[in-house]
Amino acid sequence: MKIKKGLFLTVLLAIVLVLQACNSSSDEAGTSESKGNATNYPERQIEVVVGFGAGGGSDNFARAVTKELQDILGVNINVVNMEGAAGIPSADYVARKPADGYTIWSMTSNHPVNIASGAEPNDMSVFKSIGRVQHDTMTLQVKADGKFKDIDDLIAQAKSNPGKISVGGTGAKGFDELVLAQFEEATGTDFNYVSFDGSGEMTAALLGGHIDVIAEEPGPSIAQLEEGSIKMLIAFTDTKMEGFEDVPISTDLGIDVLDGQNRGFMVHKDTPDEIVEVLEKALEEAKDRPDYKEYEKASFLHLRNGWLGSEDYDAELEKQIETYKKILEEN
Amino acid sequence: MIEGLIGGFGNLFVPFNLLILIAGILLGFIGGGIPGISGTMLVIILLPVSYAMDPTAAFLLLTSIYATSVFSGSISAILFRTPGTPEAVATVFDGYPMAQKGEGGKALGVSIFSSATGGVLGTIVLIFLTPLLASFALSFAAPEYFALALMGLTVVASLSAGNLVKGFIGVAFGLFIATIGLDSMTGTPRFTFGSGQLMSGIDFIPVLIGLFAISEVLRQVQKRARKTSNQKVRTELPDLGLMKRISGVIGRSSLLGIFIGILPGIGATTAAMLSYSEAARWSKNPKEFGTGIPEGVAAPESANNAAAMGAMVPLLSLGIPGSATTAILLGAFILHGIQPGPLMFQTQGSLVYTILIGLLFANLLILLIAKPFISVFSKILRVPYAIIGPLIVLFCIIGTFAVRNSIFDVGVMLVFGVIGYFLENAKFPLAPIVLGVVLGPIAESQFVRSMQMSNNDLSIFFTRPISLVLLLLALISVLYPLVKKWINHRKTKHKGDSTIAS
Repeated sequence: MKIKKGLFLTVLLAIVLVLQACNSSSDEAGTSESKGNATNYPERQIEVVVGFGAGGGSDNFARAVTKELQDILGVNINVVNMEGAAGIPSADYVARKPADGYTIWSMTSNHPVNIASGAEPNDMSVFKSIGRVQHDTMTLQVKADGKFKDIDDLIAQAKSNPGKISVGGTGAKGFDELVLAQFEEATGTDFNYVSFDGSGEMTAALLGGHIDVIAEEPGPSIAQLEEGSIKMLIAFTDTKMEGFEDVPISTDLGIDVLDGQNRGFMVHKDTPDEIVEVLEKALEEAKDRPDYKEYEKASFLHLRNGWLGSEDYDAELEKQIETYKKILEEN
Repeated sequence: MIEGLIGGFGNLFVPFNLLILIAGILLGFIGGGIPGISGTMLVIILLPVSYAMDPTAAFLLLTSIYATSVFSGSISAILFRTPGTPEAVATVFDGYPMAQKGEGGKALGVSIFSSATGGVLGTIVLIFLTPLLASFALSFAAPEYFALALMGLTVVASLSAGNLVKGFIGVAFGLFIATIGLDSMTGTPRFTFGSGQLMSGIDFIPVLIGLFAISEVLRQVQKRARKTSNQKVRTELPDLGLMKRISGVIGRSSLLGIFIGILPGIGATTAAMLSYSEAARWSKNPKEFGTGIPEGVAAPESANNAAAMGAMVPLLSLGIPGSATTAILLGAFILHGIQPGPLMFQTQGSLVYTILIGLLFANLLILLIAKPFISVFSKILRVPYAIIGPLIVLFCIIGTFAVRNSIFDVGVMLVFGVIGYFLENAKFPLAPIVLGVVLGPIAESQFVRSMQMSNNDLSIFFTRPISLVLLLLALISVLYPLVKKWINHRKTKHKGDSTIAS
């Protein structure tokens, strides 16, 4: 009996000790400086953290780039999806990891939006960008045989039924919602925004007729766009889109909504400059590789030149945050 | 289509492709059998390998791993109470008690038979009904998802092992765990106490592993199970009588599984959980569930394999993933330059039919390969517990860590191990907690989404026919046991007998 209890207590004690270890190691993680040798970087597996679900636009992006980076850097790269809350938990996770370049955050425009809205505590003082790879085009899409003929029809119907037409977007208080707010402001309309966790469920909801419009890039719904069950009403850009020349663009309507999803990579601010340079160079090479170019084209991501290096993108992000703050204040 | 299927056969029996298929099946068996390596994880790991292959071989490999790992997660669930994959968590409920009664071999046999049947049924549906089902899945949106999740939650009465109050406490506890973290609809932190790690929420996998596997190791240690278990596990496929007994459950669970798999965003784990609940709900003897009956193994095992196949329906026909693994498959297709969607059967017909035939074979081969695999696997039972126990803990730690690469999750798992130990000592049923943790997030986010869709008008749940029917079913199933109890009570009063069936 005595031994029985003793054994049981030993196991319990072991658990407590492991817990203790978990605790202390995670405390250190956030503050510790890089211990790795920057010149030999990378020596082991790198983790790329995506703040959105597998299969969506941001995830496909991360995987397409990672595939090339893996080859260029010569180490295995593991893509981890940490979906939810517009990417905030994923940012937090990366911020707590050691600043050694082995944890890379695959970020999107939701990051500056979250900072502007005050939802993101890990602001520009916590991350440093490696570079921006994509500048996507936001569009509004509807069912081809649905109730909206064209963009003028949508605006007219929205004006006569304010707040009644539902527009799906991914994430709450995120980039999609903010572009919609800019569109509402520019056209004097009011829509009902419905947030989804991922583009798959959202596209299904549009096809099933449960929501009226989706705010989405061309890539995730390309199968339906090509087949003809979904049509694009407007693309928020200033140059006609290849393959979608008939689709009106912002300048046709005389509105100044050009914002497109940015996709890039960031690391902890304290990451040594040499490591950021290695990554920036690898990233610049990756985006020009044939396989990546092919993916970009297949997902209609090649329409705008997205590349900004580390310092340029940091500056651009600061600018974006200011702009978004203004829009959020006005709304 | 017939031509396509014959072409698929032809492609499959190219020696290299067949070799790849068998390799995929074996990898799926091993990965699923080892706690902590899920099918999703294996597919991710092998993704880069698949880039080097031609699309046919690549997708035969990935999909056969996907199909078989869903089954093999049940082996360690039955033998060690440690679900090898998240999909096998509901198999623990009856599989492990069966093993403890000395019916481990029977439980494994039921699992093999149910998995293969569910998987084959799912594949047949996938082959013949994909376009039809895809459009049916589209009639489901947030309100229906919510109603479905709510219906699942109401089954708590059948899962609480006779103690309704403890069952409700369990579900409420599970739901509470699911609310921790950033609210995915508004970004509001809940119960995070300023901790950044709690912001990401508590993942359900560490909770499940802790509650079942770790708590069991604690219990075995306390029992001082020093000698090796004398139990010899010889897999017995169900005989005709047993087959007859469980065929109804398998049929119903497979259909439910396929259906849930088709819905985008809900995967095989939820399907297994829901079909276990439904099997208990509609059973004549719901009280026997959880005590170690073959129906309790057959239901989740047929459902999760069927759901895994069902999740391929929206992927292949709409380009919309129905689960975590199919989402990764979608990415793999795109990186191979193939766009799944409405045009895929036409543009990539040969590839699609080869994949479908491959899936059919993978599921059939479960029947053939599982037995020898298990006989090797169950040799582990002869190892003294003093060695197996720590190994189980080790695998639990590795597996938990690998889900999100989070050491915090390992802590969560260990805490829930201790919680599970004390809860079971207090005769608390664990199944309701799992129900809450798995279904809570779905119910909550779909509820909020429904409210967004309707401009905060609750009538959205009652004006849509499917949602209304599901909610009524939920209501009936809550009231039914109470009414039955009341009727029985009156009956027994007359007889002067005080036994009350619920």
